[in-house]
Amino acid sequence: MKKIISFFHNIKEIIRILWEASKIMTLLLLFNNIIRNALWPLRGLVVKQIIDMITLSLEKGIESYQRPLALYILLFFLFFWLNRIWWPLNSFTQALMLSKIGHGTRMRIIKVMENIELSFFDKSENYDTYHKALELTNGRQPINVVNNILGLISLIISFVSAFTVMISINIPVSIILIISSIPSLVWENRFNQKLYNFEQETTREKRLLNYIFKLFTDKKSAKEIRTFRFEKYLSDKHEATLKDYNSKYFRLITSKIKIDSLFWILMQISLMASYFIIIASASEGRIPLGDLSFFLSVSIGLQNAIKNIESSFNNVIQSSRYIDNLTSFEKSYLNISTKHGYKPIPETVESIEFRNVSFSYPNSEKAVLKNVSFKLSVPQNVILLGENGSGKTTLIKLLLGFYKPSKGEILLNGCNISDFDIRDYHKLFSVCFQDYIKYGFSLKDNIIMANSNIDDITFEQIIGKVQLLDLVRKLPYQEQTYLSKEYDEKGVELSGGQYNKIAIARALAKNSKIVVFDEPNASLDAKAEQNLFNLYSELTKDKLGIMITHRLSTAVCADMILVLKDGKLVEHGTHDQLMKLNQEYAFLFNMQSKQYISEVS
Amino acid sequence: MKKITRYINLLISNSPALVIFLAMLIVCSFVLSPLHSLLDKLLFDTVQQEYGKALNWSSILFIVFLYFAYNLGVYVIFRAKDFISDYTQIKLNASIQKKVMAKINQITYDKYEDNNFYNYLTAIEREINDGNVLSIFVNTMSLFGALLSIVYLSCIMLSLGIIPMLLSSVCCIPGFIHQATFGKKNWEFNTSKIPLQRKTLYIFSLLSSIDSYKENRMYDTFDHYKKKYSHLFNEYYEELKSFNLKNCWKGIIMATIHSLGTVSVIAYAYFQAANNRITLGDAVLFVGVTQSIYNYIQNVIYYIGNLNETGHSVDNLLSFISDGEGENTSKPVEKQCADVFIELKNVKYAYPNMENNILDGIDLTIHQNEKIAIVGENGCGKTTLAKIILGLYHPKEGTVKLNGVDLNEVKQETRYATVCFQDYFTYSFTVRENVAFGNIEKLHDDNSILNAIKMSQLEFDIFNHDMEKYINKEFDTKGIVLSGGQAQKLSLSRAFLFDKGLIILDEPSAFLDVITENEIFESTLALMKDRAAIVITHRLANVINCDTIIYLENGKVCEKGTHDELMKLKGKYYNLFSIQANKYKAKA
Repeated sequence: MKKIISFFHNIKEIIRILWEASKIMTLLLLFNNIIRNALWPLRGLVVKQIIDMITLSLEKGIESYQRPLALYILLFFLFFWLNRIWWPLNSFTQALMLSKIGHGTRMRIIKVMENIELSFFDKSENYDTYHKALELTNGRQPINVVNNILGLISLIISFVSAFTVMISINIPVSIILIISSIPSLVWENRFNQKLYNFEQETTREKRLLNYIFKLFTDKKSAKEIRTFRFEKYLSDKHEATLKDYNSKYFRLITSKIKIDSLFWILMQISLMASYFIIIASASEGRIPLGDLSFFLSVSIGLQNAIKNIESSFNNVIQSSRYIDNLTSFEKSYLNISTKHGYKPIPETVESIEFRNVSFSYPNSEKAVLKNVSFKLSVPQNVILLGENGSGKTTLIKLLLGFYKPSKGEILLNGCNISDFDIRDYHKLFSVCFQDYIKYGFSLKDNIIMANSNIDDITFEQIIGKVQLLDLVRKLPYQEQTYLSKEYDEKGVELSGGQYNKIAIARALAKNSKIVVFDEPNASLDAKAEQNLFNLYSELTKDKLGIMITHRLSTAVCADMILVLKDGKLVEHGTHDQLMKLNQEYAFLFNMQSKQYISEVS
Repeated sequence: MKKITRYINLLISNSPALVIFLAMLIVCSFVLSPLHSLLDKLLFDTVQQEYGKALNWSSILFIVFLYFAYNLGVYVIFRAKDFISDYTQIKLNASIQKKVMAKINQITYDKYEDNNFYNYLTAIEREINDGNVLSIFVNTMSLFGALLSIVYLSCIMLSLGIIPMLLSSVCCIPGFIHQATFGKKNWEFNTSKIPLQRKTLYIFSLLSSIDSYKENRMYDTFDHYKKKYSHLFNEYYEELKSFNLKNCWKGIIMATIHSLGTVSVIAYAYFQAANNRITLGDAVLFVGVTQSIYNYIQNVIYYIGNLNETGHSVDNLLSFISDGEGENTSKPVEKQCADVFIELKNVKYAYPNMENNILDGIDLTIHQNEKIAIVGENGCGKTTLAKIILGLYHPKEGTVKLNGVDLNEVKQETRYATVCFQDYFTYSFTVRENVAFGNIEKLHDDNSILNAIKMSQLEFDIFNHDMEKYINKEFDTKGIVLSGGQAQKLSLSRAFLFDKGLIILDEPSAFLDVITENEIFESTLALMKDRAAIVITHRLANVINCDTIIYLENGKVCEKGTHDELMKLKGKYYNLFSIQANKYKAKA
């Protein structure tokens, strides 16, 4: 029952997708499929009438039958023509619908992405749902669903009309034809189930094949393949996977052919029996010759219609399952984003406080943060230190509201941050992520990020602050130069450090009350690094700044240093305080400084 | 002509007998199908003769048997045809994909800087997925079979009269021409729209990918991209619509002309029968044959159009696979070089579309055992220089020599260097594979792999000491996601696994913590006493012990020497070093 409900729900969903994509195209698609697939029994009926008219005129003279004969031929022309224009009409509607439906699906996915929480993707089954939903965006699956449904409808119409006429000719023959097709119908059903299972089982293989091929074409991996020369390993892996997949596929197909042939013979025997009956009764003169012609043109079609009705129905069900992926992806955000009555964001930020915050990722028992508490007031310039994997970036993600603490709370001016609308809350932050995105846009768009409030003078200032002015002057189209060759032939590729500066400029352009830098100096040269720190101190004169770094020289002038170790906040204070403490921080600082000190002095 | 032989070579390279058999089956299937009209004629003539008389069992049984024989023949031939073409298709695709991957890999890395290269690759990928290579063969054979059938069906029509015969074929000609040109136009249209589509899908990927999610949230860019995406899509859609609409109208007009011609022949046959000038069986035959001719001409039109369309694109694929086949001018240097001596003379390089040389006359020698540091400001050409030394880019001017042989002449397969790139790649495979890609010969050498992991300071316990554990969730739901620092260490392990020749580390410590960084530079590099090493870094404390330090500026070697020499010089290196040192000095 549940299945049936979800099936009808899916059908409704598909019709909605179609209708929203384009009303005219939907009707055209419907009309087209019906004339192509449902009209053939009617055409057989017209031919029957023509043959009957001919036999009558042979018996009684042509004169009185000329007009009806001409009329039927005209009708025949109509059917013929309708069938013929199907092709251009169909390729037109299919092409347009394909791209419209793909577009519609993409818009729906975008809507989910706008509202969904980042933690959603940490569960692997959700990740799968997301991937499957994305697969729908090429539009091919939805349009297949549509074609399958229309196919089923036409099949039913044509079956009913063919069967009705057939019964009027000879009842036993009609029944023989139908009964003989039933075993094959059942078999088709079982095979379709097998096919579906096969497809499910081999998704991993297919993904792997694509992935390996992509490694050869991707710029980053192609570079490594060329230096490390493991192409043979990859192509062998590709070949082996493909071989495996193919042999599975052929086992399936061969078994299908064997069993299919058995059923085919059964259907043929009954078909031949009914041929015999009909021919005999025609030659005895019990039925007109027109009926014979109708029988010849419709009998095989009728048998096939029954045989296919199951697989056609099955296709509809199977293909409609794909829609599930989209709807369940959509449901994932509908459940969470219904809260109302958010508090307004405060005008001024006074403090940020972590109170006993613990956190572990979904599906993982290991706590990444353990009972972390600290309070930061504005203005302050804060440095966050710790080894790789000590939880620094996770702390930032919690601060930004991408994840919610498993225990404890995060407070802004004393209010829990989950009381604010996350969109408003994000406006408080200028962030430069460690894994910042390199956009295939112009240099300017890479920095201003859709913020149209930035005028040319401010933009120039920002460029100057991160010391990109010289570079911009050298570029072929200055700030309008694309930073990727993939989407613009005249584009340029920047070096790692140059891009790093772009990412910093991006954060500066947003100009929010709290600044967060996650290893902003990773690939900067010493001068640029120095410049960044000057910039950071200047920015944090009236703001709160939080910076993650491994260069301890930065920490020297910080108002507050937080040291994380294994998810715990082990030390906090100023440089002088922590040096006096002579533990973790002092150890790290001395390690870095000794090389410099010994050399200079 | 060269194209055709190239094509046939590719096709029969797998199993020639199967391909020939397939060709025969295709032609047979076409010739056989319309024969049922002859059976129908026989049936109607017999029944009409016997109409109203006593049953003639034997003649009815004979006819029924003929129908059965016919059905059986058609069934077997079609089944066999489908199966064999399916089989050949899959085999062929496998071998094409293999060839394409091998070929892509031979292309010099410079090409990846070229935008057209990506469009080209996209087109080729589409070709493989569409399976057009075999479909050209199948369509050619079908075309042949259809033409053959049209000839003999026309002979049958000739007995009805020469005008009906001509009419039934002539009315197809306009459609024929339309279809033939449509194929080419459609191909041109699709090809010209690839860049626009790529752009549209790129914007969508920004909106939908998890990677860009955080920034979209922080910068509130969803609406902006949505507008951009919709705008690009509508642009594409409008063009698609007008292109297809035009073709649709043309197609309908052609179909109408076609239907008029065919139906008038059919009407003529029926009226002849009604006037008793031909038998009813003949009328049935002529109607059947006319429709068969119509179907076959339709097929011919389709096949020609399709051949036209796919021919263009398959050409692309074929020339991609076979270009430069057999060219092998490279001199054999041993497969792996344990000792290297690399010499750069006056090397100049500029990226496509950039006027300025990023490297502007570099002279450099790298001896075995020598540790070289390359320092300089962002964008001064450090990474580019590394790529030149690795043979990824070819210098615009000047030469790079490996052990006295020009790098262009060294076999591609020769391993003389290992590297950890700044923009390293993390493969969605197992830990073992990720490390072993650095030296695939050691894939099953657990000790070496563990040793390389140890050298990179990667906390191996995060994988539960399981080298078969998947990284990333793409292929294994239990896979794990690495943090930035962990991924960097993994790529360092990869570099360490190749323990001969030259090692290049391009900012290996960017995301590393203090302790790891210290380890890497103090212990690991020290372990590589007998190897050549190049280190690119901004942390100058790490390069103090290097044999040679090179300060690059504007693509030129600005200062060169040991740390002490350069400090004495009090030049640019001295300045840079002091900036970093002073921050520590002030507080220590």
